[in-house]
Amino acid sequence: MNERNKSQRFPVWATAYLALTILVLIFGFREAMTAPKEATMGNLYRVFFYHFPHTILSFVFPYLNCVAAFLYLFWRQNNPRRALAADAFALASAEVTVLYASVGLATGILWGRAAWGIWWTWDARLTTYLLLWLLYVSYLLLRGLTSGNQKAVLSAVLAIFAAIDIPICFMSIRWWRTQHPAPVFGGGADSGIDPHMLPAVLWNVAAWAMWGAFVLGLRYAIERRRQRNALAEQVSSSPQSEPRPVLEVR
Amino acid sequence: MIPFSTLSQRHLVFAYCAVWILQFGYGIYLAVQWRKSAPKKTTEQAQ
Repeated sequence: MNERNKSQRFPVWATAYLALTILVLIFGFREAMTAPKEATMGNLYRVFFYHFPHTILSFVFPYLNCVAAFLYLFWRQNNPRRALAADAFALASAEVTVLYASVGLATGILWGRAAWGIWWTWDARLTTYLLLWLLYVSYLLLRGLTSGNQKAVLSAVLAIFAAIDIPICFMSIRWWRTQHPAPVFGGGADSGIDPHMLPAVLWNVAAWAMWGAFVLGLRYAIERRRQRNALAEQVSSSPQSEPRPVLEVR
Repeated sequence: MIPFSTLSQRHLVFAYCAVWILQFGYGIYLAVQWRKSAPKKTTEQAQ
């Protein structure tokens, strides 16, 4: 087996982690299907078992993106190698944020259509959540449309500003009266879920968190490979000169 | 055994399908990108 084929393979531990994640996903799906029927919505409420984990996780990944953006800006002057790694992680977390927010939006819209009779309403939660999705799509577009050193700096600044929407979106159903229901967990005396439904929620949160960590790690590894390939090409195209870091300090 | 009979509503099925298509579609896209991003052999390494 040649070197290229070897480098195309996943590491054994990553394959084992993926297999475990798929098992937990299957178990989570089974729990979602076997949980008791809800009194008012019947089987339709089972959308919650996928909608809730994706929405909660789409509030977590943007914070990783924000921290990576801060680290990039902190390291870019004195440690370009670490800054490159932070930039790769910021890109990976932004992509996973868009993925999870897209799933949150899609499941929410379908659930809303069946439960409320409308596809969409401009209430505080839905609007701030759409804004979150648009902000991270803009982040990815900005990265795609700019080049050079400016790309990473501009996108890091946008990532920090975009993170401001997360607490507003998270708190919107506590601060304002919305079409979106009040929080199921931590929403006061009237909130909560039947204990028989709780295992399905927890298994699905665990399953989609594991899957999220997997795609985040894989996307980060791909971006690091691309950075190394770009650096190797830069070096091989000018063999006489000293290898220079991709990020240049000015 | 998974009781698929509880997937009795159209919008519930659509929602679950949307999740699987988006998530596993992205997973497949990443697997392809992983293969494509494998470091290429330089001429010196080939020799």
